[in-house]
Amino acid sequence: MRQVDYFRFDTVGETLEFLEKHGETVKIIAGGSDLIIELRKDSWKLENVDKILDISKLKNIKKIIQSERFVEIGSVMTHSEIAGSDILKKEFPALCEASSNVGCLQTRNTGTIGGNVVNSSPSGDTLPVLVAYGAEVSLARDQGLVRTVNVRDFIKGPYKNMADPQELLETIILEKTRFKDQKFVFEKLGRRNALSITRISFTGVSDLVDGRIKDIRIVPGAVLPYFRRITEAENFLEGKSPDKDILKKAAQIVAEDVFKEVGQRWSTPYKRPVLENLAYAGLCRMYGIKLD
Amino acid sequence: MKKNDLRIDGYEKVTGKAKYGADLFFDNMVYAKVHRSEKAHAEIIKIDKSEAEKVRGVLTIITAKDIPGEKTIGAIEFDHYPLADKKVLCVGDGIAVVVGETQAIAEEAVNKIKVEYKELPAVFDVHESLKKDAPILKEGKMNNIAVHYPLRKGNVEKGFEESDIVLEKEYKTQFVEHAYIEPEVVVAVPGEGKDEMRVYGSIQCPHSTRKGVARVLGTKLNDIRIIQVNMGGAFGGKDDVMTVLSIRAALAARKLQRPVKMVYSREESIIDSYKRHPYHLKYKVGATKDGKLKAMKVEMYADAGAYISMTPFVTWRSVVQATGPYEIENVNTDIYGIFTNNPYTGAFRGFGSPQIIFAQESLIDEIAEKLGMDGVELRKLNGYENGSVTASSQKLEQHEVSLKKAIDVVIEQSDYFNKKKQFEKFNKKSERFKKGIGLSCSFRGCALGAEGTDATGAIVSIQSDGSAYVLAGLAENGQGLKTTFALIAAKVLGISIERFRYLDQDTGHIADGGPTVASRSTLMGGTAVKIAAEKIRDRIAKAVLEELGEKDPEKIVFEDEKVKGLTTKKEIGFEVAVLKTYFAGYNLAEYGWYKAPEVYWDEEKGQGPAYFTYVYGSQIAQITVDTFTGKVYVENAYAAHDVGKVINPTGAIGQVYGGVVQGIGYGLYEEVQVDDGKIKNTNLDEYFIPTVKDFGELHATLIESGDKYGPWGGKSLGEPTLELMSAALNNAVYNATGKRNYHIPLDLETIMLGHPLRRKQKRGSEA
Repeated sequence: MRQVDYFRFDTVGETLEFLEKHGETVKIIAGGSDLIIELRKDSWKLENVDKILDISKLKNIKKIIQSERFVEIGSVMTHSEIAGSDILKKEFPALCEASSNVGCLQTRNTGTIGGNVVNSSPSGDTLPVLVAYGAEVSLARDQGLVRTVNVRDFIKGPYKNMADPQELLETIILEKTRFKDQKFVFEKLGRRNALSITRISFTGVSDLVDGRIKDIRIVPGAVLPYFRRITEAENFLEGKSPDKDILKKAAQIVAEDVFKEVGQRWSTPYKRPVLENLAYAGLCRMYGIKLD
Repeated sequence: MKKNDLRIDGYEKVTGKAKYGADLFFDNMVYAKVHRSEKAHAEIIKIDKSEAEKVRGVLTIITAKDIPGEKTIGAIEFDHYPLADKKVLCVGDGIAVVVGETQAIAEEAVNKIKVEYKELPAVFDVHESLKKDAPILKEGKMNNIAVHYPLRKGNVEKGFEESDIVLEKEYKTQFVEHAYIEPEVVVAVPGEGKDEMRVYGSIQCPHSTRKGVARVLGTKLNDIRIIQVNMGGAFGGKDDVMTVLSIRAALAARKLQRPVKMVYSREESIIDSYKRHPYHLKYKVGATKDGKLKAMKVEMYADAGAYISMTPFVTWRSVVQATGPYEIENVNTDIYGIFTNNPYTGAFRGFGSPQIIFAQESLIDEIAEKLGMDGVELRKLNGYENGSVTASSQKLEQHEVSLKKAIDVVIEQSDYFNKKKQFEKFNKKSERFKKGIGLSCSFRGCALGAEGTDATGAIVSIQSDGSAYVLAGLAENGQGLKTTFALIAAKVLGISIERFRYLDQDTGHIADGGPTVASRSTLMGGTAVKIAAEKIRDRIAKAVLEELGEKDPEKIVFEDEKVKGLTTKKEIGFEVAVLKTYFAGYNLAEYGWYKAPEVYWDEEKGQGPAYFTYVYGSQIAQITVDTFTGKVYVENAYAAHDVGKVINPTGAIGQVYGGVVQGIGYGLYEEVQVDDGKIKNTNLDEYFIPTVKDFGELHATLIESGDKYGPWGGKSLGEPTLELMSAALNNAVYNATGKRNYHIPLDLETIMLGHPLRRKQKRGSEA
């Protein structure tokens, strides 16, 4: 295992000051569920790293705050804490569902939402949900510099994102949906039912007003190098009453749109039909249509 | 036996007091790491140790040049180099052992060793390896055939002619990793005497390991003591590889005269250890239209990898059992073990049976369908019963042939036929999920059979206060042997197992009783324990005869912690009886030794009584297939196994549960992915074993038909429980989807596409 020095400060201020000086050679650790594995593997992601900076004990970023319009999640909140948050269950139930399906209980108890975002894996389970809810991240830097970036834009590709080495992801900001009747689904497929990297996921969130789909967001996971909404399918569904035929057609659009971009890869013969199936099953579940 | 006897080693394990190999520390101890080959087949031109030697705290670097004795080991043939000498034969071959003052120093230095190779043509496929232009991997050999076993009975051609239907199918199975929870670990400690060496470790077969260490160190056997510590699982996988570790650590300890610890990471474990043999199996079966199996022809190719290891014994079991528990007049079987430059393959719970059962039990279902029968009906029609004759012309007698009983149990428990009907209805309507149910059954030879000498020993020793020790030549690998052996001694003496302690497993303390393999512990070791306990019992009976007013020792009974006179109804406490025996000057310790009955094998014809007794079992998998994703979920698994006699009910049920789940892993998830000899999935995040969330209910039934042999008729259970699930799953998948598969694992892609999909380029992301 690679040898590194360990640092931890009591305040965000000191943490940012340290990052400003040493950012290029620092890897931030929150839960460690990704980092410990990378250290073991001596991953390319740690090429210049000789220090780890522990932020898990920073009280200011370990809470969930809500205002009238927004909910702000501290980046070191664990998946278990998110899955159990009453505020989130009410406002962003799909996020709770995704968080409660990460890895295994141990991973959920240590792994954090900030870590999931910063790791920027195409298989990250909370990412498609955050994109569906239009989440932003706030990135802080020494001297009080803060910028907010949409999660959709933040993730640039597999394990690549917009954060500078000197920046700390402080919070994740979600604007409340004000849906009348929120419908949501997070479908996840792994090779086994726990402790497995997501092969494909499907996230759907919408309002249902007078039996019609409103403001739907559809985001597949683990099929693209990043995460985006499938607007073509969303537009197709907008204003329609969900039934099997319509949802099936929407699922076809999802698969078509994704694989037009991805092209033919080793996994495509499997992933393409399965994404379509998962989208169909997910949309059915979302609107309470039973599939045997 | 009582229902809730606690494990004799439960206290220390539950409280965390039990020491495992990695927990061991000795004064002055240092740490070793292994530099391994990245090449699959190459000459070693030069080993450059200079940079590694410069690392501060590096004490020595050992290579094959430092070996004082023989350079090779092997249980059957000496072809395995614990440290590569002039050549490497597979990726992961150990080349040098770096010893440092700390683990970190050894790790840093081991990466600085530079090996210059001259690459040689390599071969990774059994059929390529048989071609004329394939590189010959073993010096002095004409080809790459490690072993060939034929079996000839009757006339298959005639049998096929007399058949109304003939079916030919090919099957493939995969490399599988044992995935014991505890990776390999040893500590070699130089003894005080000249040439003395002790090796502590997670070692499945201490006496086998001792032979290897003595051979390479060039010492006598009694210079080496192998001491087994608590084991975090073995499943057959801590045999040869632990000998290799022990040798590597002992060479360093010998040179430095300091204790040397060697702990493998999971990645090292997966790269360095042997695997289950992948098989390519070609089956041809003929049957009459009323369902009588007339002939079966089987041709099998097992990938031995770089070293012969247990390949001859593994493949021999395959040849004996290849045609399954069916009476077939005409059989023609050939199995070839083939050398390649893949990771070497060896012993793994099941030992040559899971592969053949997957194929042959899938085949039986398929031909049954062609005959318009249910697979169960065909199995009943042809299955073994008392007096049946096997493919090797062995008449099954002197034990109850309970195959059909096992089938009946799982059929009834699972409500097989009703479920089949229900599922057919359900599947017609269902859009996403399809349900299915499938069965498989087997017979299995107990213990080593005609592989070789089969004998083992045990010590029982009663102390003057009525407490007791037990120790046997076979070893506790987590399977519960210590508890079972204590229970056997306790039953003979009419006392509870709380009186017993199990002694340290040390090759210096007990005779070589062969390896802890082949589900032979209860049958062979248990009998040895029973013999030892009975000798002591008879001696105590003699000592208390007068006290109890009896004349005939036969009239003395041992039960409920007491010794009683049957006619006089007098009784005394066990302690009192022991004290009397002690003061009478009788020996309260005894050695029990048990040698298996004679068996025989004609290697040319593949005929003979292969094993002295057999066990029978049947399993059913009831599944739901998600046709949207290809995911198979086991709703219910039913297992019925005839064990002869249950000694430890809790332990036995645990064996069934563990075996069934390992079988589910074999059937659905597990595959060591080997690309040009290099293992791609080197940790358990990518090598998938089932978790508790991956299956529903397990239903285990133990059948007790007794046996002439074994303690009160107790036979084998460990391996039969694993071998059946993959075929049951395959048959259930067909039942659910109407599509047959011919390889395992039945992973997502196989179920969706009918074939596996493999990533070709280097792993970047899952997307």
